Amino acid sequence: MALLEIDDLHVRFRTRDGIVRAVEGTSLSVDRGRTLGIVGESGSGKSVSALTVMGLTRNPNATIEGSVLFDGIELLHASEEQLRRIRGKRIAMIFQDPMSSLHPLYKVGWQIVEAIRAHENVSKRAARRRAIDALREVGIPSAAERVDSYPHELSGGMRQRVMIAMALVLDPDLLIADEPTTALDVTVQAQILDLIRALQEEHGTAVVLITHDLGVVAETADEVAVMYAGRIAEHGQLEDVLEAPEHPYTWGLLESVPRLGAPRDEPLHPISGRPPSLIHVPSGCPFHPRCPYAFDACPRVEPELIESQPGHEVACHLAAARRRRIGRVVAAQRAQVA
Amino acid sequence: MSAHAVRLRETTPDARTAEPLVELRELVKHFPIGRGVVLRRELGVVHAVDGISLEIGRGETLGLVGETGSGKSTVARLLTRLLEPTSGRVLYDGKDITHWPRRRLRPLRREVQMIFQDPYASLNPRRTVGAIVGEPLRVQRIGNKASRQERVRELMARVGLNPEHYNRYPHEFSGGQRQRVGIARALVTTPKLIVADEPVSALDVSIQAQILNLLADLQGEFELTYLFIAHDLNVVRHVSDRVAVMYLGKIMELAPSEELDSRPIHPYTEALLAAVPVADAKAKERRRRRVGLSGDVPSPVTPPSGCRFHTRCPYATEICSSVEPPLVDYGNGHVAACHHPLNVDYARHPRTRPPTATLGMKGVLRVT
Repeated sequence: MALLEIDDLHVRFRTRDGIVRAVEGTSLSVDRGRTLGIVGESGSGKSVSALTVMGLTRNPNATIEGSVLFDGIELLHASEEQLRRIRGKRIAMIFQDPMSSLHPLYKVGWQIVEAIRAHENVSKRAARRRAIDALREVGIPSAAERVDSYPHELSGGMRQRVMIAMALVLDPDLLIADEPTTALDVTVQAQILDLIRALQEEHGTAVVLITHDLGVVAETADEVAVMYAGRIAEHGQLEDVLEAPEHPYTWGLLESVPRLGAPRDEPLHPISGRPPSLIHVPSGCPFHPRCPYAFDACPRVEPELIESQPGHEVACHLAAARRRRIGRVVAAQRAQVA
Repeated sequence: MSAHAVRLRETTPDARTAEPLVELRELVKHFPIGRGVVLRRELGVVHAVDGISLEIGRGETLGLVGETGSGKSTVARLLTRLLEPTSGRVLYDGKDITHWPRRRLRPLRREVQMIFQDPYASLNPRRTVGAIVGEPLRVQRIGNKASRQERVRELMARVGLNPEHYNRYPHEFSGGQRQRVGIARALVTTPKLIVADEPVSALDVSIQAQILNLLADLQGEFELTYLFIAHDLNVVRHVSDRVAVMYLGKIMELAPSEELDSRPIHPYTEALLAAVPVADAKAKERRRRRVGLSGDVPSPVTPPSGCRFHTRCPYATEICSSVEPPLVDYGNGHVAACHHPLNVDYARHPRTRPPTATLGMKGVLRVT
């Protein structure tokens, strides 16, 4: 059984403007030691899915349906007390902006000690030693001194390392990383992705990596899910999706980014229009108003997520053979000479 | 594949030979850091920009790329005279505007406009987009109310906004549309130069490409010159004729865009190129072979001695920490400041030494 199994998850929020359908029937699973990349733009439902796993979307205006099984435990019906034991200890999360997830008035070491002592009955001194070890493990130089730094005394990259140290110090089974490198410079982003990967290999942690950047996923994930308007548009093994992406939205994402090494005046092919409103989601396939391949079925019938190749699922009405043909061309154009 | 692809830019090969529109000479900006209100003590200075010389040709797009603290945004603010330089000169259209007072600068503000990163923060939430776009005309006392309104509607349509939304407020628009409002506002006074500071980095990927294509179209149509600033080398390289790579207040390398990735000379440029994650099936293999930069960008308060990049450079030798490398011209407008440049003919540049045998940042073993 997979470590995390999300089945037919629906998350809706009642707002003054109407019902926001943030997640609409998403099913995903993550095995131990594996990395699932979830790619999507703002409003795709990628972050809400993660927050729901952590029990962080519970509020009177939210309706949550479906099932989230973590190691056999149904998280959607878990009590706050059960959740508290799992959160931080067995499932850890890191966010985009480490400055807003670290408390500005406490030393970083103290914050890691708190995290340890919230879950384990250890002395402050022992917890502090572990905090220093954790900081050292994530590559913070002179960790024994840095443990007494305040967050503002550290650079963005260092703060994200502190967050990772805090997340991994309790040796969780699952790490959810929501845009962990988006606020960082590219050279530091590369360091942080390498670090997450190395720690994962050492501890066997499963990782859910949420990002808007297919390139980040391509370097890090084993499996990828592309989300659009709260639904999964395409899902499969990383290599399969990158070699022959089958959803027009995935093609659009790939072609929106300039290629390194391409002739300079090569045009970009943006996706026309803009991400849909989650209150007034387009009928049929939610991507159809922006899809250059849409035909009469697309606005009428919502395509189901169907296995196109073994382990490669796609929600699109186009004929599978045609999708694969176009997908291979798009991928071949993107492939960079390494 | 899509038929609505837009040609990005007509290149202007003679842009570099004509008199440049903008010239920055040995520009320096230091920000003092002080403590205390009554008894102010100076604790040091942030070396934001430390001796930068650049030219921007008419009709050209000059890209400026660099990481946090590289000083790229400070260059933008010096050029637009929003900041007073510590030393050095700013020449616009042949005129030395370095110390012009505000009043004298006012007519110039029509010709030089900015587009900012965050379309949420740079638009007044209490004013309608029509008023926001028309504001520069009002300030500059151009036309009357009716003619200003007409001009605003015309530009809104041109940048892809519905002119009927004249009376809507910024919060009613998406991020991409708000950036279009910012672009319309920049264009309303028919400027010659647009300084775009991270204009697409806050936008969704699919929207970024729309805005980049729009900027390229407008350049041809309005004969604009761009200074395009971003941290994303991939984006900068795509839109620019030439790219300057900055690190800790200095220019490390300046090259025609197509040479930058085919023939990076400075190790920092190579590192930036290698760090860009590319979505293809070989990405993991590249990542495994990549020898990334270690550490963070050092503090601009106490920049490293010698070459500012030496603390993170995999090729650094003794000379790098003691002697600051000068910018050397490698031909074809390609200059770089490095003691151990890559991809150059060392025989013709006797003061440079090839990097010693080591793993390059792309994981390629370099033997010298």
